[in-house]
Amino acid sequence: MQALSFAVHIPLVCFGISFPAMVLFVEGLYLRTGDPLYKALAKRWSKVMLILFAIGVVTGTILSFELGLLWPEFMATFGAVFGDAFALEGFSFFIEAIFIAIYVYGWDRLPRRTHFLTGIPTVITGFVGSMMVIAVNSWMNNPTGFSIENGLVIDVRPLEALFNDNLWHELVHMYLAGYVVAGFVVAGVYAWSWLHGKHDRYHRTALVVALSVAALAAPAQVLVGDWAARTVAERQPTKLAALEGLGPTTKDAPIHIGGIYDEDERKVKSGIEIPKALSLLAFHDPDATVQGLEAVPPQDRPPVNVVRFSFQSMVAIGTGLAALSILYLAVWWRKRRLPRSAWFYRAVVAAGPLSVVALICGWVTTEVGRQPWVVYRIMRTSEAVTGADGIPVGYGFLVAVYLCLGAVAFVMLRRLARRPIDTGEPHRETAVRGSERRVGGS
Amino acid sequence: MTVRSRSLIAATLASFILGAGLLFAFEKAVTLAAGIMLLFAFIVLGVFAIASPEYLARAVDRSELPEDGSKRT
Amino acid sequence: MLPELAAAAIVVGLSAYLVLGGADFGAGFWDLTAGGARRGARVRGMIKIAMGPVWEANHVWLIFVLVVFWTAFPVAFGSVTSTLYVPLFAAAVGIIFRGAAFALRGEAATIAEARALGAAFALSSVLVPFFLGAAVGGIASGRVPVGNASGDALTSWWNATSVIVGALTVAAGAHLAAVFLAADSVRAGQPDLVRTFRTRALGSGLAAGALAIAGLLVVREDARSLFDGLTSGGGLALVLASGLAGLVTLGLEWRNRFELARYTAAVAVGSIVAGWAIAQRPDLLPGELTLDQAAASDATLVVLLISVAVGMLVLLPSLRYLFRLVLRGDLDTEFHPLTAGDDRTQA
Repeated sequence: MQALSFAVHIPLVCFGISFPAMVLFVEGLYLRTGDPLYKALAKRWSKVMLILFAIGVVTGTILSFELGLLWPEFMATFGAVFGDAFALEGFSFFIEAIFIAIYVYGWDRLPRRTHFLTGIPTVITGFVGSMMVIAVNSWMNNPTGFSIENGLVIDVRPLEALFNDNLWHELVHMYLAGYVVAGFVVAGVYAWSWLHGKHDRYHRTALVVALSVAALAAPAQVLVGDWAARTVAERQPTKLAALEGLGPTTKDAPIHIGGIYDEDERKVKSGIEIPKALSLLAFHDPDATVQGLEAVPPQDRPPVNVVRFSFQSMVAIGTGLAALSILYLAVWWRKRRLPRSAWFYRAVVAAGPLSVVALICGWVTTEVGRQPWVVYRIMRTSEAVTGADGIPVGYGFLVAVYLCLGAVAFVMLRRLARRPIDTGEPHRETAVRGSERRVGGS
Repeated sequence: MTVRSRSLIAATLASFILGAGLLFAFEKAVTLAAGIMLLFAFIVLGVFAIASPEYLARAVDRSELPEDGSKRT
Repeated sequence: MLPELAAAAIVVGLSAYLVLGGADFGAGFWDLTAGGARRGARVRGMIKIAMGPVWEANHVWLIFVLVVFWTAFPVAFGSVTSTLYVPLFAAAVGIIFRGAAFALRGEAATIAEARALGAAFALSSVLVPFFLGAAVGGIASGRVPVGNASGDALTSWWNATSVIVGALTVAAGAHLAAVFLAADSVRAGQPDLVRTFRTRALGSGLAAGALAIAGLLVVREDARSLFDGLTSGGGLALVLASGLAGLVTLGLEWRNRFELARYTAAVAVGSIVAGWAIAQRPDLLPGELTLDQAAASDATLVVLLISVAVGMLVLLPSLRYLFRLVLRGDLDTEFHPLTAGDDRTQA
């Protein structure tokens, strides 16, 4: 249930993280050149931003409720250790809510420079807010800043808990993910338009801005992912072993692409083996020894195949996105234009939802990979959960609610997209083309 | 290409190469931090380099239109 | 000292949520009762432009309250959420629907759609404050024991005190909304709406007052120690202050002085929350856990209070900026009656 709410929330978070910067960039172009086309685009994007942020706040509120409703033991025991981060996160999103409102409602009502400046806090709060939440998650994976005596949590040191060594790679990886996801989702929308004949300057600009952001962030993300893997190897060796499906502790450990991990035979079956790759990934040393799942008792191991599958999906998609990005960048570098191939644009259209899939797979990897612990090697998930009944009912209900919400949001956003663009100039694409489908036109 | 855009592109590339190198090759906190900062610089500079007013002001001409299978204006 | 400060932060946050978020919920109440599509269109149009810029910011107070609660008083938090999960879950679902419906209503294309979204918005605007109020009533009447889901899942929030507190919350929110909307209608230059909301303000103000008095009587039977707390010392002072502020508000509404009425209405509501907190002293969960017993360690509280202080330093000026822009009309969209698909009021 928590995972479901989280999966709904996290793509919206990506927009909260990165979209303000993208909108401001376009408004900046307007301020620099005076061209009303940029203003129209920034205005349109800011309205979408507001809707997505609003839904994000709502789903975030639900997550806060669920933390209390579903995990009262976790909150009761450790709330004092990590709660301060949520206080700061709350303030961040509060301020983001304020300034997003001022920004969207203040178009044409505030002086131009003031208006631009009111967008800047939203960029900062997007960063600070995500940092605070990641601080808590990184703490769950790497618990520090307290001691346990006779089963009681004492000697709480909140700052040490939150600014732990795990924070930085998680933060950078998620922050970049925000740009990759929002960039490709937005670019995908405009790539679709591009494929369906919308070739005016407005659409070209939107496409270039969104795609450039995504295409620069994606290769960087691959590098950051490597750093993340190295840190996991160091701090959560069981999780790393599950990423691959490594039974016994092994020197020169390989990676198996695909295949299924077999509990009884303690190895991956029918995968493609790449020798020494895991040692290389984890420690940048092909001969390194990698700790296996068997270093811990069976009840301390996560569900391996879930973790493997989501990790490999994330890496596969991430690599694909990076490749697509390099293609885009290479064409720009050598020909100073957009790629010409329709297949490129189809790939960009696919890249939008695929980046969301990669995002969720990444979170599944890290969260399921941490199981059976909710606080790594300190508290089990089973110990943290509520004693109340009726959880399955609540779950079913929530699924129905989210499906309903998703459908409605999708329909409404599409309608918003179809509205004529307010450039203040006569538009050129007013005719409804008979048989051609009109979709996501801006 | 203007001088300004050339140096912007050079700075973008340099940030990427340095950043990637530092991040990938070393494990110390200070090199990791520097590597990450440089990679962020790469992204920001790159967006300014590509999505420049000159590049965006261009009207769409034939050389950019998708071929094979997409619909035309 | 530190636990008291943390509790004070919760009281302030809860009051702010009750005034600002409550007004938003109240606006939903008036939306629900505005009448049919044509009759209610003007009222709904006014509600939309009044809520537009501020509704998200208003609701973040709830997250603030939750977060300070679980950081400063984690065991109590766990007890409350595990026992009172029914009203809290219902409130959570209501919040989802409400937020989504409001954000998306502007895009409704047909009357049927607008009605459906409007109904979802309005209904949840009534249910959420009721359930939250009922949960508070459950806490205040000592029905939340310490432990993981140790209280009764139904009677902890479905009892005399809870029901009356829930109803009072709805009424208070409706009243605040009517006052705010009346003042907004003055600013938007819509005298007929001013009259409409004035009537509603007077009506709901009287209803809220009656429910408050009834509440005291109910609590006298149902939760004697709470009653004693509310009728002596600091608790009594605040209850009287609330009553006085309420009367002043009614007077101001009668004389069409709505801008001033905003503030006195807010004081009336805030005093009740503070009065409740004082009445419960020194307990956090009455009869079960005192504030000091429930509190987290000093280290955590210090970091929390510093975070809150720093956060407020940035937040309050930002909030002031937003409200100043709103009250000056700088963020106003044009008034349009709200029926279906009628969305030229976008910013």
